[in-house]
Amino acid sequence: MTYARAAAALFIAALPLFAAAAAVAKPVVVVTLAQATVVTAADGTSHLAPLDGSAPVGSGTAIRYTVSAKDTGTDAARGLALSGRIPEGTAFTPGSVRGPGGHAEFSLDGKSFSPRPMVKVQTPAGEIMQAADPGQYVMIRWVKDGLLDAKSSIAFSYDVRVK
Amino acid sequence: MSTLQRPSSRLLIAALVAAACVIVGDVRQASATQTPPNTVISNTSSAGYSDAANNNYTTNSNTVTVTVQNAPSILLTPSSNKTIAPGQTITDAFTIQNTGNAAGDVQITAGGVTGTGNDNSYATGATWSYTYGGTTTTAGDLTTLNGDLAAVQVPAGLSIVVSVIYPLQLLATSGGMVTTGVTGTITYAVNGAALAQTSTPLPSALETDTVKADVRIDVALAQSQNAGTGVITYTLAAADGTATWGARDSAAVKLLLGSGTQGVFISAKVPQFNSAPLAISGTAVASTGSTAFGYPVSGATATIYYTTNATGAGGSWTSTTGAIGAGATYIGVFITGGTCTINGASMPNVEICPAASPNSTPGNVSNPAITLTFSVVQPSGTGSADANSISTIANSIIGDNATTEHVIAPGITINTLQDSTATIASVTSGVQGINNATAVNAPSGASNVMQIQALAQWVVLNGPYGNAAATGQYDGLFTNDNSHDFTAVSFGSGTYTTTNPTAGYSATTSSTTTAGATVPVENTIQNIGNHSDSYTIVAQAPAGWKVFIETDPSPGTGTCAGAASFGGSALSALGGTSTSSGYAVPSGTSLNYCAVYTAPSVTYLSHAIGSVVATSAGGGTGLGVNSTYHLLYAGFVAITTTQTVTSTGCNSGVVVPASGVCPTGVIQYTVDYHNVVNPLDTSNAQEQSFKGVMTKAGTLVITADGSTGSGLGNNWGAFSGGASQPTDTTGATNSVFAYYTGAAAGTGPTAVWQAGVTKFTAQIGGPTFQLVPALYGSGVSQGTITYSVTVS
Repeated sequence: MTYARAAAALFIAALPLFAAAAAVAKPVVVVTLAQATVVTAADGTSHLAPLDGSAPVGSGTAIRYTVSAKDTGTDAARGLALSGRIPEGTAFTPGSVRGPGGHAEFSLDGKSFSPRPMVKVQTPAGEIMQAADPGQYVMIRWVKDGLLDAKSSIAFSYDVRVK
Repeated sequence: MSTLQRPSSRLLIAALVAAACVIVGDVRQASATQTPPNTVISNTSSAGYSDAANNNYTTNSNTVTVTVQNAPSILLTPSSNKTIAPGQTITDAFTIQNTGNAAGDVQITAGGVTGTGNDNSYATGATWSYTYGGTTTTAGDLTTLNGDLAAVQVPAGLSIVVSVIYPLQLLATSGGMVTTGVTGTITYAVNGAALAQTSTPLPSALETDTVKADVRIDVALAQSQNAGTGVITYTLAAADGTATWGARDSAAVKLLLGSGTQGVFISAKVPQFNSAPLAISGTAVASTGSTAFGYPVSGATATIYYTTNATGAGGSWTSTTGAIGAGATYIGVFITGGTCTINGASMPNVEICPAASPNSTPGNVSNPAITLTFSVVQPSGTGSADANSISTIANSIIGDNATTEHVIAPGITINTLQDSTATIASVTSGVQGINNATAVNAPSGASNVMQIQALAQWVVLNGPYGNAAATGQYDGLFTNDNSHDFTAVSFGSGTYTTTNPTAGYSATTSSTTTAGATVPVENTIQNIGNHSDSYTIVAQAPAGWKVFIETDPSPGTGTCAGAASFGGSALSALGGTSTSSGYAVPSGTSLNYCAVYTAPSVTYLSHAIGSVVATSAGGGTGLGVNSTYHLLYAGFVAITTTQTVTSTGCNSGVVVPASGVCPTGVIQYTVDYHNVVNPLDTSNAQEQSFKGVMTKAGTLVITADGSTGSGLGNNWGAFSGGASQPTDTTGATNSVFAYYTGAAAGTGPTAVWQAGVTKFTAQIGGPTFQLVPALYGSGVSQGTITYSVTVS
């Protein structure tokens, strides 16, 4: 190994040490999931009622999941995407996604997301593409626009209905 | 909680996002299946982000859970609204789906015939049933139903069918509505952590059934008659008069035609006359109409049947291709095997379908689905041509929608079936509904009554009383037939005188009658035509006579009232005619009438000829006209008694007055008899025709009774002790004398003359003798009996 090579190798080996010294500023996002039931009154208005995990729910019960995120780090989080599942035994309620400064995406397999997932459908005329039934969604993701500043919070919610 | 992971490339994420635009493969299928109770639903969220150095991070949240509870719910769906018919039993099915998340027990908390149907009051007595797992169970009332349902666990997502079964009374009217509905719950039992739950009572939507009048087969009977042969042809046409229902198989027909048959039957009674069916002429023909008029599109066959049974009883019918056996009493056409489209559904075993545009009414079928044609020979005999003497009606026997078969046929009596009045008939096996007594009155199933009569034959007989059919030859000139028959009538001639009584008979002998004497002659008219008739009677008076007609007030007595008040005509002029009309005589019956003559009070010949002509009002020619004649005899044998005192018996010197006599005197009596017919009187043509009038052989008997009285009476017998045996100039010893003795009735007779005779009879000329008119050409026209008495 030449000197030059040895010096280069030493530099490279020392990089993590520099990085560790500079990691003081970085985002640390903490995620919290909450659930509540959506109670719709006779007049069409609705309100949320706490949902204790020990309290059983019946079929048709509307559950609102609220995903909250807080950047507890020292730097803003970039490209924040909050994901929630649509559990087995429930079905996503179309149009129920609420969130600030971003957009929702959905997944049929838990891996790939799209604002409007498509599926192939075999018809007598041949194979066509059409929008998937929201009942087929298994995950939902909220993609925030811009940064989540350090010490800032964000939350989005969506509703499912117990089948 | 959080989990830091090593960052990944943002480019990689972008690529994954792009690829997610199209997902092919294993994705969750949208499903309505409910989540079972006790299912734990858990959820966890995550966040992905990067830092300023593009380091990627992923962090997970806490996990939240809930447990699924019993969530009973149901969905009630009525069956489609129906078109229903009076008499029908309707089943309205309500599907109750368990839309909850567990198996449960369905209960019906309310329901049945409910709602605001205006014919609900005609749908009382509803019962219940339920169908589950392909099995239908009759439950009866609601309590029983719920008891049964409590034992049935309906899994989530499956259904049970509960039915309201109601009979629709016949009073329900077309256009009315019946509504039914149910209110139900479902109960889930305790299941682990899932608590027992009962759904909120949920009413179904109402089912509204609309009443449409039941099937009505209109039957029309038409007839025509051959003007030459009188053969009557009947055409029976039938069609469904409704646009809603078709005529269905009828068990009644099976009873009628045999166990192997089931369909609809349309029949006509073979017309009868005098209680006997008329003979069939030719063959019967069944013709099917177009499908537009209600004949099934396919599958149906039409077969002719007939029976010779008087009541058309079941088991007596025979199928035929058209030839009808002798003595047939009913003919019908049987239709079987049809399929119709009714209320949008294809229905088998319906033989006459609703027509596309029904336009028939009872007794009026212009577009028939089926026709039956047959002919009969017109009847003959008394009254056969009277109006409407031949009458018949057609019937149909069909099934309809009624649960207990509601046979459309008048007066049908079959086991427990109902007749057209919905009256359950008595159990009379084998008595079928071929009742031809009821005319059209929907939905009777009967046709119009069709009436006709045989072609008329106008035949009248006019003759002597009690013998209208008598034949004769009143004048010897015409044919001996029933239009020249006659009645010979004698009558009292009043005072008879001869112009020369002492000279005996001469050609100038004549007689006179009492002025205005009436001579009644009884007659009989008989209507032997086949049609009741009315007759005009015209009487012709002989010259110098008058005549009128009257109804015979005392038939068979030889006398008449002699007054026009007995339905008579006006008195004719001398030698004129008198006409009387309107003598109604039913076919096959007779009428007695009198021709009452008034004799002239003029010099009279021995007899005259009157006549009466009867003329049919229906057919006044040929056999519709018949005459009879009256030979009016004033008596053509004149008897003149004279006396001569051949010896006064008086002593000489005694002055004897004229016609005086003394004891022992002898009085001679002469009895002149002669035929006064004067054929030489050419002034009277009728007299000429009587030139042959003579006494019947052996009938001229002259009686001389001397014991009938005293004083001016005939009392010569009181002097019989001096009587001498009578002699007769005719036939010499051929005349037969019989003698009586004693007073009053006397004793005898004896053929031996003896003293004391008080009475005798003389059969002039013996048993073969006839007293003929003068100038008859041969024979005796006059004679004299002479006998004497000696005054004691």
